[in-house]
Amino acid sequence: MTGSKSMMTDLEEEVLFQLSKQRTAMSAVALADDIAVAMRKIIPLAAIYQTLHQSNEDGFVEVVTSNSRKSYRITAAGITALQREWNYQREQLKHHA
Amino acid sequence: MRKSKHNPPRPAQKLLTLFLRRDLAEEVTGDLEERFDKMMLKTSLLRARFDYWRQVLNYIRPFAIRKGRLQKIMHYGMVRSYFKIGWRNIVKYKAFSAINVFGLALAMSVCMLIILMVADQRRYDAFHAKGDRIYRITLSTNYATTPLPLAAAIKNNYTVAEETTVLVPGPAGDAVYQNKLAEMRGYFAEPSFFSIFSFALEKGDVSTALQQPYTAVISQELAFQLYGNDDPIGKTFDFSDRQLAFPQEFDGIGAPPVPWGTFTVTGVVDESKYKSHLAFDVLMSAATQPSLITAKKIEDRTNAWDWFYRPYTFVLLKEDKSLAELQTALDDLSTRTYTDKKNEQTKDLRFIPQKLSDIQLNLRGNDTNNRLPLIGYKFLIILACVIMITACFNYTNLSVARALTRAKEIGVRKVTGAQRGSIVAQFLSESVITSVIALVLAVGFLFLLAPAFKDLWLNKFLKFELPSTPDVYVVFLGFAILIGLIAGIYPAFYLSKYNPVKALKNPGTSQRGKFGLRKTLSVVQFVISLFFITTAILVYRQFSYYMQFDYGFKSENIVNIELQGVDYEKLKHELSSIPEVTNISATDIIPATGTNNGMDIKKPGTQDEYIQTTVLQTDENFLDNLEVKILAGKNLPPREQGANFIVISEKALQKLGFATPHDAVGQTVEARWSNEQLVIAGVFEDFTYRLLINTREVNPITLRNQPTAFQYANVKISSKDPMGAVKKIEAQWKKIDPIHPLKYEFFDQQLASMQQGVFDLVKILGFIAFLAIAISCLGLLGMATYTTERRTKEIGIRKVLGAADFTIARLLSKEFMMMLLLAIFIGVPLSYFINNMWLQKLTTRVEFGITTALAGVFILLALGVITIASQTIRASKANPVNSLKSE
Repeated sequence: MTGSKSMMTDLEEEVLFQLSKQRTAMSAVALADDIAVAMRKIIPLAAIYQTLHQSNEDGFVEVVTSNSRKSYRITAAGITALQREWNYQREQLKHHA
Repeated sequence: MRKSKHNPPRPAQKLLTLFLRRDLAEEVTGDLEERFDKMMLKTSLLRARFDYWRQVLNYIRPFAIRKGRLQKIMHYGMVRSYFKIGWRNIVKYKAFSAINVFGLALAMSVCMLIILMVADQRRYDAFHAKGDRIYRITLSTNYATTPLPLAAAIKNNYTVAEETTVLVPGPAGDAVYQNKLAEMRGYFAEPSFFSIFSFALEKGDVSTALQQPYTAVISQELAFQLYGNDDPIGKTFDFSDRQLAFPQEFDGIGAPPVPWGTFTVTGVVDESKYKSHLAFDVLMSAATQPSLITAKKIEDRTNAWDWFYRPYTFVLLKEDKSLAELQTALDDLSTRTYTDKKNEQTKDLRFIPQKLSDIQLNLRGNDTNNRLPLIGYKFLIILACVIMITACFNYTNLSVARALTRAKEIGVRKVTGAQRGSIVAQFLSESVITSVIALVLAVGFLFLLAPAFKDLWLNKFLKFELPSTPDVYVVFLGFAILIGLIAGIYPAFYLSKYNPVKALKNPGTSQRGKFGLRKTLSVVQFVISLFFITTAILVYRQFSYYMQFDYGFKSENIVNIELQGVDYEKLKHELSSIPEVTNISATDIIPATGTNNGMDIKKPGTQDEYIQTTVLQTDENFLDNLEVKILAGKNLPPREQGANFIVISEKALQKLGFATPHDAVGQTVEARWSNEQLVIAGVFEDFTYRLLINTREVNPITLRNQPTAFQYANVKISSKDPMGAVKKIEAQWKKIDPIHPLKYEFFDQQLASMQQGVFDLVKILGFIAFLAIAISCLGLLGMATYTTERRTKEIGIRKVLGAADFTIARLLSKEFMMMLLLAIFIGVPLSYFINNMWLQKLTTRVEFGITTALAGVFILLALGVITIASQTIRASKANPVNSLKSE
């Protein structure tokens, strides 16, 4: 993706992707672990929070509070945005080809 | 509920709460703790803490920072711009930046050393899982010790404590297993010890280790000494108590060995894993005490509420109870217990709880280990602050001096719309960058400074390790930023208040009248330098005086041998056969080494007050051996001739009211408490008995001959080959005591070592004086450089008009010389006044004197003049053609 003008950052995309794989809501710590495995590098919790908060403001992610703990779940708008991002990337690849 | 027994680093948690948005706080801290616990399971504590710090620092980003006034000014893009311009300015004015960085770095390294020292002390007892609920009970008289029945009384009568435990220093002697001997020192401890503290056993079971009488938990080192690589659990050792000094080196003076019986090892603790104020080789089960009391081997203090000199009481507070509730319970207990208001010893006595984490930094009387008392830290912190302030003065001075150069820049900024706040932020960012660069250099200095500090004689007792962990570096960074802000705050506000129109029209006018401040700061710097120089000289002179002090007895060629329970007469007999041994005496205490016992005496049948004397138990050879002159009567007679003879010093004679030494001989005096009638056999010339630093006046001394109290043999040897003689003594010693190694010290070296603490002070003050003068001279260099640069054209014109080099140098140096002279005028009397305050407390002292003042003034003037001359002479010798072309 590097070099192409993407609509999302790598981390935003990864966060939405990891959330879309889960049926249930995920805590930020659990999400951080999954992202570390997927991206093969440790992402600071602060960066994940920032992304989650931004995505929440954009309506891509919703907050679920249970036993006074916050978890995050992808919304329908989030899934649509993720699909749109992938379509965009596919277009970019075709264009370069 | 936290899973891990370890907590995330507290400074990091505090930092997070300082800046984090309140709506995020709960979620973020919870998640960070969860991550910390996960890291603890996967990696080490160090890595988990490091990760925690990294995560916290990562939250310093706009979305997570709490909104406030600061954020309006510190917009992210603006901050980047401030730092970029700040960096460019630092690079542009290299000489000034170097002076500032070097001065700040020198001062910061001293402050960082103190931060390391405090951090080192904060690590003590940090490993206890229930540490936040553990309190030591102390006395209102500042004792760390309490009565023995206190722990049980708290547990049984009040509901505040989940558990209590008491530690009684007791076992201090020899453990023997199959001809292997090891000295051990430790406490009697209850099983509850392991319920409160987190000392884990390498071998054995904490729940049963101290249950049975005659069982003991020993240190790993001791286990190795006694049993080698064999499993120590279930093995035994025979213990003989010798009342060795424990827990402090001055607690106890030793005694002949008393067998306590055979003990079984039930646990081994690896003491190297724990940094604690409680250090021990052995924990003997408290259940052993009753049988030792029955056998009259230890005193019964079980119900002694008026004996509070040895036991340490600890309380584990219940989770739902507070410190205030504990204090209420303790107040109630002391009121009920100490009802006799006439008892001077216990009247108004209160129990004060002391938090476990506060113990190491707050030394109490009778404490468990040698530590720097709080006053020591205060002293060092004051020294470091003074040095830091002088370095900050340099920054302020040079920044304000450059106002002329920067006035136009500020004017342009203001005209193009900059607010005052953003200009302040711009200048502060410059000072913070300077300070952070200085931090890097200071860390380098610290690597040189820390080992030198650890090598100080004092550190043998204080045991500072000074490890630098990531936590400490974060504190250093915070400290550097703080110093940057402090150093930059005045120049920032001063420069930012320029009127843009005036600044652009005539930048020179704005700084008029402010030279007074710069002069004042420079003079203050030199006064401080002069004070430190003269103080260092004075302390060094005092040290030299102590080293050459005439104690009134001869210590040369005397070897003091610790008897370690060996019979003195037997040893004397064996050593008499060595030709190099010329005289032998015995004593219970070595004079002038810091320990003393007292005895109060008066003329019998009179209403006179008892006089306090220092009592020494010696044999009849002691005075001859130390070459102390007998003024009247005779020496102390041998024990066989009677136990009630004493010899007294001249001072005791005067205090007892005898007119002449001959009047006292044959007279009787009465001893307090024992009511013994003692006959004065002779009077000897006064000698200094107490530590020189403690001596207020020469104190009265009494000598008695009580062989059971003898702890040392004083062996005088011929001076040709002292070490050869010691080898022969060692050979004879082995014949009498094959188990204990010979312990000896040369008396004169022993006395000299007593002054090592003063010598350390000389080193510390000398170093501080060096820093103060170095920083002041750097400031002076900066000012001189700036002045000569600013007056380049003037110098050229003067030279063209015929001024001589010397005249120009004098002109340029005049104001600096005036500053130096003013500093001397203020500094000498100030130093005299302050130094005399502590000098007056010493009886054996040097005087401040004109030589000390002159030496200080000479050093200050020499360094000051060299610094000024280096710039002014260069400027005066410059070619006027170049000078005139310069603007």
